[in-house]
Amino acid sequence: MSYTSHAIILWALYSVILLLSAKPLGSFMYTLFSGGRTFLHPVLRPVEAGLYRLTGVDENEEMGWRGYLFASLAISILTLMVTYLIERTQQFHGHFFNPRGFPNVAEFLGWNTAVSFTTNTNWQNYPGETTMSYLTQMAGLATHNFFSAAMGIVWAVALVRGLARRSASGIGNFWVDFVRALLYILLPFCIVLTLLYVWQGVPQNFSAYTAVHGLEGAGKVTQLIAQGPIASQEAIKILGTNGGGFLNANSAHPFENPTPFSNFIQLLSIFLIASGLVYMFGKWVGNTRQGWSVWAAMFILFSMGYFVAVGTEQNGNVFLASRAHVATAASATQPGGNMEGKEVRFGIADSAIYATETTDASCGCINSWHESYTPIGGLVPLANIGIGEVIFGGVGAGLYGMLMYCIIAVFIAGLMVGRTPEYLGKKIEGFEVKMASLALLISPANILLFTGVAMMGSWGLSSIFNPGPHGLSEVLYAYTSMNGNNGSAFGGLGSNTNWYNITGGFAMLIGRFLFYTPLIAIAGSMARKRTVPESLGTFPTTGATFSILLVFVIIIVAALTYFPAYSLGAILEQLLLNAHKTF
Amino acid sequence: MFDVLAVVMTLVFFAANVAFAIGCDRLMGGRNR
Repeated sequence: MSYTSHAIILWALYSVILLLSAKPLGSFMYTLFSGGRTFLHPVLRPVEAGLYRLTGVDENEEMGWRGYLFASLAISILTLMVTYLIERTQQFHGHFFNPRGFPNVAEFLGWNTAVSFTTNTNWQNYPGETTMSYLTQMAGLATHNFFSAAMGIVWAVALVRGLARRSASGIGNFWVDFVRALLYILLPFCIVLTLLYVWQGVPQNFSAYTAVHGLEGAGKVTQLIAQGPIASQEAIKILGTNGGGFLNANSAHPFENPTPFSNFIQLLSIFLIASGLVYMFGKWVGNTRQGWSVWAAMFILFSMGYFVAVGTEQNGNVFLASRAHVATAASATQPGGNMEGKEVRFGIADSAIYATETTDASCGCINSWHESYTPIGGLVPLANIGIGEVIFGGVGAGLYGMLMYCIIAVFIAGLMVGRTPEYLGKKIEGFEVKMASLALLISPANILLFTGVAMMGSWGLSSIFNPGPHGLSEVLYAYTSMNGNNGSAFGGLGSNTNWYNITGGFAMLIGRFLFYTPLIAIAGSMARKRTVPESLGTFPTTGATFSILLVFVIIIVAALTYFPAYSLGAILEQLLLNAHKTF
Repeated sequence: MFDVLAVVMTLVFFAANVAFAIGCDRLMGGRNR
C-alpha cells in the first residue's frame, strides 16, 4: 500500500486537534450532566428552567432504568408519528414551505423515512431535493436530527451514571438530560457551524429552485439548481452523526460541502462530541485514565481503518494497473489510485478519511461513493459499521457500544487469566454478562437474517444493480447500515421498494432500541452495586494492556461474526479482481 | 389503508420493546423501576 504525504499529514493534523478537543469538551459535558454550572448557564439556564415549568418536569426526580427507557420510547413514538404525518400532508404545506409543490410522500417510504430519522439512521430511499418540502426537511427531519442525537448522548450519560454511582436506585432524569443535551451542546455548536458553512458557500434560504440554461442557449437545456435551508441542516446532520443529506449527493454536493475546509470541519464535527464523551466518562468514574484507555482503543481502530482504506484506494484498481497504458501512481499532475466515485476537490485521502469516519461513527454522510471503492477499501466502511460503530462512534451510541465491549473484555480476560471480572470497582456478574451478550447478538442476528432472507427471492434480489459478490455486498451493507443506524449506502441497490422500506424500518428500530435496552438495564444494575476495593485479582482496565485487549476483543468478535459474509462479498471480489475477473 | 398499517407497525414494535425491557427486568429480579 502506498501513502501520499497529504494522507499522512491530514491524519496527523486531524488526530492532534481531536486529541486536544477531548478534555475541554469532556469536562464541559461532565459539569453539565452532573448538575454543575457551565459558562453557558447565565444565558441558557432561564430557558431551561422555563421549559421545565412549562412541561411540569421536576428536575430533581430520579428515574430507574425502566423509567428512563420508557421516557425515551415515548418521545420516539410521538415524534416518529408526527414526522410521518408531516410527510403524508406535504400537499398542504403551502408555497412558502413547499415551493416546488411536491406531493405527499408515499406511505411506506414515509414510514421508512420517519423511522430512519427517529433512530438517528438517516437512511434515505429518496432524493431530498425532489421529494421533501422545506417544512418536511426542517420540522420533520432536521428536528429529528437534534432529538435523536440528544437521545444518543443522554443514553450514554445514563450508562456512565450507572457505572459511576454506588448503591443508587436511579440513573438520572431523562427529560433533564435531554433538554440539557439539546440546549447546551447541540444548539450552540450548530449555530456556530451553520455560520461557518454559510461562510464557505452553503445556501441558507427559502427560495424556489433556480432554472438556468447551459451553453446551448435559452430554451434548449434547462437545469434546476436545488437550494433551501441547507446550512442549518448540514450543521446538525454532521454534529449529531445523523448523516441525512438535504440533497441526494449528500456531502459530495458542493452546496453541502463546498471546500476542503468545510470538509475538514465536517470531519472534526463527526468525532467531536463522541470523543469528548469518552473523556467525560473517565472524569465521571473518578479516573480519567479509564477514559483515555477507551479513547486509545478507539484511536487505534480509527487509524487502522483509515490507513487500510487510504492505502488500498491510493493503490487503485489492480486490474487497471495491469494495463500498460493506465498509470495509477500519484504524480504532480494526477492523484493516481482509484478516483472513481470521488470528488476531485477532495481527492483520495480526504475521501478515504471521510468514509472511515462516517462509518466509525453512526454518521452515514458521505463525500464519495463507497461502492466505487476497491473491494478491500469498501470493506473498511462495511466492517466499521459491522463492529458496532464503537470507534468514537455516533454521539453517545459509540460510547455505550464500547462500554458493552469493555464488559465483554473484562469478562473474557477474567476467564483467560483467572482474574475476577470487575469493571470500575464493581463486580461483573451473570446479569451484566447476559445483557451484554444479548446486545452483542442482536445486531448480527438483525443484519444477517434480513440479508439472508433478502437474498432468497425476487423481493430482495430484483433491486440489486450489480451481479456477483458485489451484489451481495450491496445488500449486506444496506442492512448493516440500517441496523447500525449509520444510514450511508454502499450504493447500487434500489431500496425504495416495499420490501426494503418495511424490513429496513424494522432493522433500524431493532438496531436502535432493542440494542440499547439491555445496556440501560446494565446501567440500572451497576448503579445499585457497591464498589469493591481493588485487589491483586483485579484486572486493570487502565493503560495500554487494556486498550490493546479491547482492540483485539472487538476485532475477534467482529471477525468471527461477519467473516463468512465478508468472504462471500468483498474479499471474494478482491481475489477475483486480482485474477482479472470482473462482472 | 397503508397509513393504518404504518401506525400499527410502529405500535407493535414499541410494544415488543416494552415487553423486552420487562423481560430484562424480570431477569434482574424486578428490582428497578
